[in-house]
Amino acid sequence: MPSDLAESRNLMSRPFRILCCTALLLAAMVVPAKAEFLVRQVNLAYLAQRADIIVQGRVIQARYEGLPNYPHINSVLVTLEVERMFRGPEGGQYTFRQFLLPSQMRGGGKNLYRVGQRLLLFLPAPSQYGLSSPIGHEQGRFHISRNMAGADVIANEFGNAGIFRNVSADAEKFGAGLSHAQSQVVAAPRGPVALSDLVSLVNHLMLLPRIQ
Amino acid sequence: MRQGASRLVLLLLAFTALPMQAEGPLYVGGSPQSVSFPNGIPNSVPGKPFHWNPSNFPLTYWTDPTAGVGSMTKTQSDDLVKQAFSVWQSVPTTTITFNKAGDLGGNVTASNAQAVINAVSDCSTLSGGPLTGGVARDRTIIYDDSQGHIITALGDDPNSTLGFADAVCLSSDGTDNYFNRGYAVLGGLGITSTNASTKLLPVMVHEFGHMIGLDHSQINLDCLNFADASTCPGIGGVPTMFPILMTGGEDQMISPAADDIAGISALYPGATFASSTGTITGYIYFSDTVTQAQGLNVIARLVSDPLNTAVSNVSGDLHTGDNGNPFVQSATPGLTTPSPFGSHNDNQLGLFTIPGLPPGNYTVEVEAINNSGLNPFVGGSGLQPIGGLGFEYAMPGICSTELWNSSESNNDLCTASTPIPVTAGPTPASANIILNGTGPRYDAWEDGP
Repeated sequence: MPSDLAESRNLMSRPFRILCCTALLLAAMVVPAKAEFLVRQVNLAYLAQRADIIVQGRVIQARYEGLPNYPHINSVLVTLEVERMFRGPEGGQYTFRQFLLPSQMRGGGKNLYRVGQRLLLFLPAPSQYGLSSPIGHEQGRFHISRNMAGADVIANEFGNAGIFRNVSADAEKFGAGLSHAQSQVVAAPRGPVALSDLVSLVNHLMLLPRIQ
Repeated sequence: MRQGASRLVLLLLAFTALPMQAEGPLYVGGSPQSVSFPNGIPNSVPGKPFHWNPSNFPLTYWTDPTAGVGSMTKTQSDDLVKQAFSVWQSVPTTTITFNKAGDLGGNVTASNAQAVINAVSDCSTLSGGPLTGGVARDRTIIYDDSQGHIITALGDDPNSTLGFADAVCLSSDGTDNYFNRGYAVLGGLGITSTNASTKLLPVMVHEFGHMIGLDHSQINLDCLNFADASTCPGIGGVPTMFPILMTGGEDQMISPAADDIAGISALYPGATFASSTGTITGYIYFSDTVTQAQGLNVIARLVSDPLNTAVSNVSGDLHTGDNGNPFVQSATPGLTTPSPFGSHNDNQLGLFTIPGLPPGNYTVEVEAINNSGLNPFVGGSGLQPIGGLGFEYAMPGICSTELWNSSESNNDLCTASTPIPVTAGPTPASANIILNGTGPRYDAWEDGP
């Protein structure tokens, strides 16, 4: 969209880049979190700014195997049937490979990705080894499900806890304030939101300057 | 009375046959599997936690020969690693010790990180003795640079991923289960000598806890609700192995809490551990008073210091977490028992054992693992045995937390509590908790009478 591109270029001006770096530094100061992988808490603005690939789709293959040429390292090769490619290569399918720790295989390794899951993933571009893990791990992996009313809802693996924190302020800093409806969505501290609402937010936050 | 007597016999049998474990073990032995995983799954001793063989202590480790973490020097980085290991080593009731054996065979960079991790994880070379010759060693500590190139190469975002660690190459001699190798990758993006003690040291202590066999643990969960966790009255009892490094909780994460001390001591007991501390053991039952409930967090709190002297154990943590549950069906066609870890002894399904208790009077309470709170503890932040499978159970019944009392029943007050005297030595105190207002099981696929 030409207007989006123009706005995007405007957002990339030097003051905005400085603001972006400041926001990143501030983000680095708050609440690191968890796990065998210890990760910081991130928000949706960060995910949209940092991710090289933002893809919504259905898992049609999840193959747990050693890395090519490095068979003693666990990985999962995931193929999605693309429903919506926000950012990334065009095509009906998107495949990526994720590095797994042995302890992530305790349950047999099948809990991360299963055929049939509908996901929205925020991924870095494949590394020099062809690997990419969701940014912020559980935080960058969203599950889409259908609620009792038959509507699609979405939540990440932290139940959206903290994912909207400071999103409004981050958007405002870059001159891309949220609409009234979007502001209402990010006011929720946690819990699933309508898929259409999150799609609207992601599309908007993708206008913010990229974080590399 | 007959039911009570049989329960007591069951409990004593289970207790005498089982290892004690507070803070959850990272891996528990299970049924032999024919599954082909890259790292292999041994025919382990069911229900026994994996750990490093104490006959090999001090546990040696190796670091990059010239590089440091981030912009730190190698010497500064090595000193911090030593400090992190010493946090665990300094626990007086454990035997585990560490020693830097030397430097790796070369610096680990983005270009060779994959090969190095692959070499450490290649269990087929175990029979050839210690790893020598290449870059990797048996316990490899990898320093990432100030740009986070290694974490990036492994597919992660170095801005948000701080580090990771694991123990690999599991084995069993038929009587015990062992780790044989391990590695840790310490993220370097933004790490300097001035911020390392607050930004990196807590990460190291927590990750090294995993490397020596500890899983996550939950005590004083309400500290999550504090913007600055240092102001939480219960911060002193929050374990180092709590799944989340909270803002203001950095000091807590580098100082083992009572739960960490019990956990590391149970895994590597020193000579005085059994004689100087006591144990509470029992079962968690559904309201039918028969069916055991797995996957709930049980906490013993010293009456005179309930927030700080508190030790936990997850019920059924030695039992497999996926006993027929279709949520966790294997991706491998035809595999009927997906997890190779955890015993299939149904006498362990709802069993809890809380060791390492300083003598005194204790309350015992049961709560859900944080499955619906601010940060659900699932997946990588899960607590054994369920959380690693990608979900945790909510607290069944009508109590959000239920305490044990001497008139325990399925319709007592949730908060009614009777202190349990705990004495040092081998004889455990017992406390069976019957949950109020529950169905007989969690789900239709859960085993039951």
